Amino acid sequence: MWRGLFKTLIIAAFAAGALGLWLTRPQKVDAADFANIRGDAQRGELVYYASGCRSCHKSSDKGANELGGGMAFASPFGTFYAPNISMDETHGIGTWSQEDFANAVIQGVSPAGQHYYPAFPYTSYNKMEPEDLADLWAYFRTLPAISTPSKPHDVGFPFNIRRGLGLWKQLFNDNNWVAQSASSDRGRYLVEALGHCAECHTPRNMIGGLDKSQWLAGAPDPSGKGRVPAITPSQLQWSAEDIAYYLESGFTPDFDSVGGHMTSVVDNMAQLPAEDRQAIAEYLLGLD
Amino acid sequence: MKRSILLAAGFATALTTAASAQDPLAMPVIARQGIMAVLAMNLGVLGGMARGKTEYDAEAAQTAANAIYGVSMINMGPLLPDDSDSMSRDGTRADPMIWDDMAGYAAEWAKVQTAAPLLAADAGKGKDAMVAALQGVQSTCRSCHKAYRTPE
Repeated sequence: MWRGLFKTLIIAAFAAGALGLWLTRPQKVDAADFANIRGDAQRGELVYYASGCRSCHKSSDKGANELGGGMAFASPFGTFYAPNISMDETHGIGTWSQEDFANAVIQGVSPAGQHYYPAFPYTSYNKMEPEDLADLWAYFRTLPAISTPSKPHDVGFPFNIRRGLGLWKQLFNDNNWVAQSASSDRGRYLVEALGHCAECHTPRNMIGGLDKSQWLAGAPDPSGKGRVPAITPSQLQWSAEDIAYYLESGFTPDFDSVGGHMTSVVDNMAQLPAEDRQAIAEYLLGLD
Repeated sequence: MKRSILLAAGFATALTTAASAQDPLAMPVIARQGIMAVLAMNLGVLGGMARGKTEYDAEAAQTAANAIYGVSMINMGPLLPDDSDSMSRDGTRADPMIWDDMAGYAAEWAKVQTAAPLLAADAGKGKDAMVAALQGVQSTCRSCHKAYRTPE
């Protein structure tokens, strides 16, 4: 009888372990989705601004498109450092293929099959169109190589076990739209996917998943200082023109100026065509 | 008219005395915020024209630009005494970073002092010239508020 129980326990432990491994396994994109797409660097430049890559990955304020990384992001789980994603072959991503890039951006998985921390907003980028991904990669390849080594993240146990992120992804990494019907499809794509606005403007739960029931309703600033404002229409009370002008100029309707990390967002949004800023405004006004 | 100016001056003096007697740091904070408010109001005049909410008016644009230029000449140093940052007191968003990096902060205000006279020079020369010069000032607002103003 004891032997039988022991055996059952062993089998159960193996089954649990196997289930855990299965649940936490890194998932890759379907290579066929990207095999026949050749990106266009010129179009990719707009995807680059819309996606805000440089807001976090730029090495300094000197060269806006030097993606050598190093910016620190404090969080309740530790401090993350934006890695070097320049074309450097040793310290950056210069040796990557388009498929590697797709796995990183859309699945949050490195070429070596490791999970990335969701400080990298692949939970938003997972809705990126394959053509945009390819265009973005083509543009990336035109950017300079920066030879600064990436700084390791400062994250303690148990969050330093990357495999565990597989479970986190099971819980929080879905690629459904939050606004089921949007007043602007382009606006929804820019806000929910490329622009990843919710990553800062939506509050998170205890384990860092977005609380989608409070979509864009404002959140504590991850730095611990102050709050990121709500951008729902009832809270913001700006017109579409106000929102579009803010994204272009950095000025609120009261002519206060944008500050903090949002300055980088405005730097990017100002590069987009006016219709895109208008689309974002329409999407936001359609919420609630 | 004269009477009301005198009265206002009297009130201002009374306020100053009250504020400085209780809290010597209150006045520099009020002054800083007053500077920002004057900038915002005049940028609003120009921005309204830039956005097409109001029609471009060379004289009004020039007046607003002059005010921005005038305010930009204020020396910020004396308005930033120690312990008047957002960590040390309520009612200010002046980030402690200013005091950690006073040279960096001074360089940001110097950008305003460079862009403002260009705006004053061009504001009356037609809408396009005004909008271009206004963008020069806008970028300095953004640049300084990036690191030196605490989030709300």
